Amino acid sequence: MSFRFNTLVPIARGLSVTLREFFRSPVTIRYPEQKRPLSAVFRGAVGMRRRPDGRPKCVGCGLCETACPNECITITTESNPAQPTEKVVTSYTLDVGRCLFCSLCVEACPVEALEMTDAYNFATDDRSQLIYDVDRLMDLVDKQGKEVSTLE
Amino acid sequence: MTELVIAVIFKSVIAFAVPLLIVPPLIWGERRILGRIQSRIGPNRVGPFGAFQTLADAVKLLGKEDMIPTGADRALFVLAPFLLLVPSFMAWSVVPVGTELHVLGYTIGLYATDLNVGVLYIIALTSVAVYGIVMAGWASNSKYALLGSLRSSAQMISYEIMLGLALVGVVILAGSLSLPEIVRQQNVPYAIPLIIGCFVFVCAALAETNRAPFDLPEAETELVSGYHVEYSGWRFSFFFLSEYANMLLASFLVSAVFLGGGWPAQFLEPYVGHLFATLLAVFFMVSKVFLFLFIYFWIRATLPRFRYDQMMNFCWKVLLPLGLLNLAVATVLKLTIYA
Repeated sequence: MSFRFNTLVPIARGLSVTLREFFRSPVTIRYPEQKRPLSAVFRGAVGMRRRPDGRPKCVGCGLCETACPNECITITTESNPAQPTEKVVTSYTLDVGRCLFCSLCVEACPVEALEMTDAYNFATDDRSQLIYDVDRLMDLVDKQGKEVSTLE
Repeated sequence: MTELVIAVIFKSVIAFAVPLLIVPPLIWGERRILGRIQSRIGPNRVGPFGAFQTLADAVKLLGKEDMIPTGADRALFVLAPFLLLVPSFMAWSVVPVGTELHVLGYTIGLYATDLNVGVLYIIALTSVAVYGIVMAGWASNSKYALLGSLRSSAQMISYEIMLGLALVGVVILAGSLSLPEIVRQQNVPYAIPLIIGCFVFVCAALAETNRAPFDLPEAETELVSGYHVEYSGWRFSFFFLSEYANMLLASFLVSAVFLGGGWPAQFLEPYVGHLFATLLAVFFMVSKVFLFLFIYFWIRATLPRFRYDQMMNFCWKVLLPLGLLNLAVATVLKLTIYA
């Protein structure tokens, strides 16, 4: 007989495994409603820190622009006639669609104006929406840790 | 036996409606249970806990285009789903959910008809279903469908014998082919003396309803979906419905024939009264049915599909000897304990 009685043993073992799994709770995370806690060192989009008075911390030196391998940061500045030693940042944009989250810009910044935030949900149906201006970049820092929980 | 005409009509409607009403939640339940076993949630979007998922799927199926492939044998192609669905619904007329209810001087049997050849009737109807599958596969003019139907004709014809063989033992002990009479005879469920027969029956029922691990006729990974691959829309839903109705039928049969139907409710009758005992019997019966359905899903989630030769070996080299052994046990018991 090709059938051996001891083939029943693995079948019984398999049945016990599946029964045990049946009584465990599912591992599924229902994404839009539930979010998976992020790692403490998670690197999402780059965000812009604020000065105490609420303006962006950026001094317009352009080191991040140079450091960026994908050229996704664009800074325009003009000189301040009242304070010739200081540049005034007129626009600071970061194309999240091109960013590779390498954090070289964060390391390049001499005044620690940039930081890697926990933002990762940039989905949009328009590429131009992915070019973040300085207000949206500061917003990312403001919302840091508020929408997604972080693992200790 | 006095039976109200209304009761007869009511029972006929119930016998027809039960498979229709239970199958959608059954499919949902299967998907939820399979999900849990696979550490996921399963359908949970449509309605509370996703309970209306099957209804949404049914609506979707009914809205689909009704396709008949070029080169198909149209007459057979159209006939096949009906040939499969009709017998699986007809069989419900002899399935007992209990024995008798005596109320207001009337005796109402908790089954649509007490056919004195009920067991034969069910075996005959399950044989008809094979023709539906063979016709569906042949008429589709598709190699996958044909292969699926060839496999299933071999499989279902083989396992039907084992199904009958397992039931013969019960028929010998009960001395009757009527299902309510078999239920009435079981002061001890036949699963205890005929444990071998019960095993043979459950295995054969799995194979007969084309459920995993005997789902060779459908074998999604090899045959796309076997004999009904060319069917779409409501014609496909007929195959789906009949498969689940058959599964439900097999569970009812196991519960009635081997687990004693409403056993042990009949022993409680002197204590709790007739009406309550009958309700309890129906409750026990249905619980056993659901237990078996769970076992069906559980086995599906555990065992991979058999290879064709393994499936045939299992039938002819394992189940057949066991079935014959069961027959011998039944005969000896009939001459000694059950004499």
